[in-house]
Amino acid sequence: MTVQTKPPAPASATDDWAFAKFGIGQPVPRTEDPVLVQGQGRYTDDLQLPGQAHAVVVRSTHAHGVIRGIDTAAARAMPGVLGIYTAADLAAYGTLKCGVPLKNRDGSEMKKPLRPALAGDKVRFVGDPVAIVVAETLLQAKDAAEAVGVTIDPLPAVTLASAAAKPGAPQLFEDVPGNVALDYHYGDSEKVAAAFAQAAHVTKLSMRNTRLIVAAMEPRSAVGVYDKAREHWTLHSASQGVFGLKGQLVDILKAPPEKVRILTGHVGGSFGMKATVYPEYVGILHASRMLGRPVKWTDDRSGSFVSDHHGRDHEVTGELALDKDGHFLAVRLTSFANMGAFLATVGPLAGTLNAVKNVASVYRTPLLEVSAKCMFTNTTHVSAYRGAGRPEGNYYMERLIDAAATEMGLDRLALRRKNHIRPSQIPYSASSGMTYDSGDFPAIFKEAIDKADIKGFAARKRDSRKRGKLRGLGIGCYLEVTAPPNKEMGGIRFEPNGDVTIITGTLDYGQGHAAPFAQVLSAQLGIPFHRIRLLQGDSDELIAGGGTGGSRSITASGAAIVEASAKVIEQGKAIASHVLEASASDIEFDKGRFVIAGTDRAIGIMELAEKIRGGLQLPAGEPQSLDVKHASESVPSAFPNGCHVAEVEIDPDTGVVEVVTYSSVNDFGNLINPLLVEGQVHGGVLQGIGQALMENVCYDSDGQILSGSFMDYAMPRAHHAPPIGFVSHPVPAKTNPLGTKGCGEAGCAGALTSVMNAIVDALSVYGIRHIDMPASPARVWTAIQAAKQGAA
Amino acid sequence: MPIRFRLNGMPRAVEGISPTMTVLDYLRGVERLTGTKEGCAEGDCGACTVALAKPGQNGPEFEAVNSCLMVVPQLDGREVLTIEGLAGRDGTLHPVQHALVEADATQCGFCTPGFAMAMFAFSQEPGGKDDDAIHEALAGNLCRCTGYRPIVDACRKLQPVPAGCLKELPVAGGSMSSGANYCNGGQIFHLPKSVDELAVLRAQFPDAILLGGGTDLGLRVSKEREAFPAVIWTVGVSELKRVSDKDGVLEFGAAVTYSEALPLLEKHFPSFAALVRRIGSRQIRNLGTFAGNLATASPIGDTIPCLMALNAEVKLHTQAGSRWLPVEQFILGYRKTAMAQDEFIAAVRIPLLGKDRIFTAYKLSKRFDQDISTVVAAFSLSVTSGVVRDLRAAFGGMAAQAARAKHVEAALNGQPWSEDSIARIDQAIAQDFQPMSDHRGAAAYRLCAAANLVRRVHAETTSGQPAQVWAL
Repeated sequence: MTVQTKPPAPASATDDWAFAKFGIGQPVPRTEDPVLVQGQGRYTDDLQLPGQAHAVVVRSTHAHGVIRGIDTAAARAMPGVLGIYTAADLAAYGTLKCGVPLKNRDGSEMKKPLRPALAGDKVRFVGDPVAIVVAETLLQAKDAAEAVGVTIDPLPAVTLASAAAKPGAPQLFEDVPGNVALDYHYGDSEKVAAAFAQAAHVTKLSMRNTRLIVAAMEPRSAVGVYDKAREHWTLHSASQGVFGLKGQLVDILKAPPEKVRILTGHVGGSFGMKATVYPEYVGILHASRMLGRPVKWTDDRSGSFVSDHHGRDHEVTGELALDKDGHFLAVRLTSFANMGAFLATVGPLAGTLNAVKNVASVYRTPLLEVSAKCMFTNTTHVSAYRGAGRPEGNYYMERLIDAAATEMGLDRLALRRKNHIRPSQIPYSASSGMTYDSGDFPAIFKEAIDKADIKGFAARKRDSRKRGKLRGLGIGCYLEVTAPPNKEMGGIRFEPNGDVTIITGTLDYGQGHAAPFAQVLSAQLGIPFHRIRLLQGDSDELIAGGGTGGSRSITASGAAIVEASAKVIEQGKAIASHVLEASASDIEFDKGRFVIAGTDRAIGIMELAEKIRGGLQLPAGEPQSLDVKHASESVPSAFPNGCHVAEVEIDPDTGVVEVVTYSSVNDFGNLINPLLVEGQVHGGVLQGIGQALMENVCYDSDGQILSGSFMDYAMPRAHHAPPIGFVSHPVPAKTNPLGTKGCGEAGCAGALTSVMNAIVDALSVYGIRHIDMPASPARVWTAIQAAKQGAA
Repeated sequence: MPIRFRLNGMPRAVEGISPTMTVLDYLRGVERLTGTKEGCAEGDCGACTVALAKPGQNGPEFEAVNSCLMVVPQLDGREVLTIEGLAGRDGTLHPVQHALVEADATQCGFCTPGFAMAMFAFSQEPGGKDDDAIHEALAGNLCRCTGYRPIVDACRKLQPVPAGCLKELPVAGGSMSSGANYCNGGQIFHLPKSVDELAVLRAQFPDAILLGGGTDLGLRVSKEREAFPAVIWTVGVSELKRVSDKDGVLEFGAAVTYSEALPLLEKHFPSFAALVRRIGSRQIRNLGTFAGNLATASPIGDTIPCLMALNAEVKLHTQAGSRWLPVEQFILGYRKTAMAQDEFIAAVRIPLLGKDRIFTAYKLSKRFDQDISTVVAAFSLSVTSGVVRDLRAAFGGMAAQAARAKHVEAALNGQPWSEDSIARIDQAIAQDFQPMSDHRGAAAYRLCAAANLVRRVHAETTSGQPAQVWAL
């Protein structure tokens, strides 16, 4: 199943140059919307293949224990049961792997225990898959799954990373002493220590970055199809890019690449979660091979809460060293990062490398040190969630700055201004090792302060006070380092029906790539917007693809499309030279037309494509079509940045926090489609507000998840969303052809920082200088009571 | 006999499926209408929202419901609208869909059909579309991508335009209902039409499950896959749909939903109405009933403490006749009631408040909408010459069952309505209840909160200031 998204033809479709309406920078509505609002999206679970059987996963109900036996006899005898598979059945396949190439601080290799798709010897978290039951119908499979008897000798469990590091803590793996997967270190400890020793002031905060449920609205689903005659595997599944997922699956299946195909249709949200291979996919592909028919698996929501990877979960001590005038000298993060029971594909990244890259933010911070212990615990594995270390790093820095300002008696705005990297200092080599190519942080800060009417805050605060509410204002500057470079495909194919297909390896799971990618191509080649469609979800079509993630899609695919367009023009010139009977070197490309220089003789690109389709005879050695399969070389990381300002009101009697105003000024470089960019910021901000105010995964002492449903895990709802002001302040990136920077994760970074700073600002009347997320009513109320008692 | 209903304007006569198949599974699996989505199958996320229609006094009335919590026979005689029926047959988008597109209110699109159907039902209602109304209408729908704001913006522009598939069709009425029961594979689903029929069935099949709105039992079907062998559905009994407001008594038939009861509750017991508006979501309230809430006898039972404090009575009916029982005598223990095997709840009646009588109810939960209460408290009292008379105080979430707080009542009745009298209320509460600790609240919290709610009702009644406080 692939979904090819094509905009509807306008009422009066002309092939005219459509810059005005569909050009770069225009708020072109998403081309997917008419399909999606009619319920015609094709998500994986909507697929029903002939002969399809249904799989259900049997999961561990213990957080930690030794598997003594799995009794499948009774289940096998139940109606409709086709097969039951356990670890022994999957022994021939490879294991799920962590792709993060980091080393311990002493230079030794990090520990990467093998993770087979099904647990064989031990279970290590509630939800650990131990068997897969396949039956004719879903109900039969569910009934049989309940009849599978799994005997487990429970072991003590540990769920908190810092607790897993303590002597005597339960050990998850025999060959991972102390549960330490990775003892990561970045920076020059001696220099940093010296800076702290010389500092006029040191601010230190202990911060918990909450564990979160990703909670994409579409539960994960997959259909596995094995074709015995061709010895070929097809996986229908959500993903964030089929090329990378295929690579992982090829490795696990130990199959030649041409024998594996991934097909992704519409994806109902992912936020980092659906990017990788999950155990269930291996299980159903094996089952399909055994049974000779397609096997479908769809998670239920209870399963999603334990089987989808979780996000965040860091315990951090942050320290900021300042001189007497408030100049930053060094920042140091010392943390535990919870990996869960296994290393996810990019599990360790958020707490280590991405913390390094993002904590320095928009400030001159000459020295930086990050120490992170990535710990195994008896919990669901943790990996990328909207930002994957970017919001976290920015959050630590912004909290430290506000705390430092309070402690030193400095104005928090002035302190930020003092330390902003100046435009004249760009390109700027940050202590993270990143070189910022562009940005005007002071100007963005000023605009954000003006937009938020900070001058009027005192009056608003008095007004809130009259109503018995505490009001706080928080500032959250952020700078994100987008995903590291990857090859990306820019394919352009002129179809028999006259459409033009963009083929690229990023994948839209809600962002709406079709319109902006078409805007880019239309601008490059003058192809009418409504003739352009997007193909992204078929691995057989891709020669490269970095996938979507780390806010990279518009920059990576955009550059690939621009480069591929140049190749189309080159090919087109050669072909047009035969049609126009001129030398190729005399032909220029101008606004969608191949023109003989200095003449009015020309042919439009669509007309040329039509002639080729009509059987245009071209000499051997010349390009035979306009089609291009291009793989762009890597486009460097970009540095989207901005400043968000939030105001909250707190009811001191109940601890209820409400975000009452929210504004943002953002530098995403050039915007291809501002409508979609604003949508990304909105979504990111509310996810940030969700983390700041309510979301939190809780475990009991046995490792059972307490927040295992939408009843008990607090998701933000419509009434939590404040109006969100959005302003674009573009400073185009210099490192990619479109000057884009990426916007997908910025909302989270801006919201965590501004909202939590606003809450602490409101609570500062009690002398409170930090409160951890989520600032739930209970937590805020308790903090107020404790502060009052402390003061009394 | 088949189950007859109309789906997006097309008649259906369904046979050969389990009567405990959910509407969601039917739509996706049997009809292959995959626009309706399963996001949680627990009534929490709203991705499965569809609209049910019935002829009303001023044209058709639509209500959004969770298709994951309903079984197919509950569609008996109804007009069912799914996302596939919203646009015109020629593909013209419905204004709700237009509004979603215009506002950029869909991203991944998975929650969108559920939002569209909730918004469609909302668009058909009279009344304003201010933010509070919009938030209430959307409280049963989760979106993870858009940040909601564009969806709220889209809601402001709603107009009551008919669904595309119903443009030339009148809405189906109950007359198309097929008959007495639906059988399949050893399961039977009874659809009585009258109280007498229901009484006969109840006597004949004492083990059959009585099903009202299904917001509780529906979970046993959707999550636990229970295949009840026999179900008697009460909502098709027209007498049980009656509402009466006369002679100082408000009476709801057992099949009256929360939504249907709200206007009269609002008129006579605004505080009760405010609490009911926080039960589940609008989709849940369009299905759930007082009778169902009473019959499940949960330890919290949001409405039960209110009904106890209001001295409400339950009408229990059999073939032999009926009896009225005070709610507090009806509830016997943890999920245990005084309903005999051949009885069913026919109605609930609430005496209206006498002159100078005060009623106030509170629901404490971690979230405003869609949350299980930690503590529910309800108070009915008179204060004459500064002295408390006839205080009835009832609590939920404090014990294995919702119950009156007799020590609290005794401590205050006949006493001055003053802070001094309330000073000793903590001890009285502790004598009345020994609550448990769980992740919704510790025993100490529950005791403290319960006592403070007594203080709150005092503050509210003496200061004249409503205490609009809900959170932990």
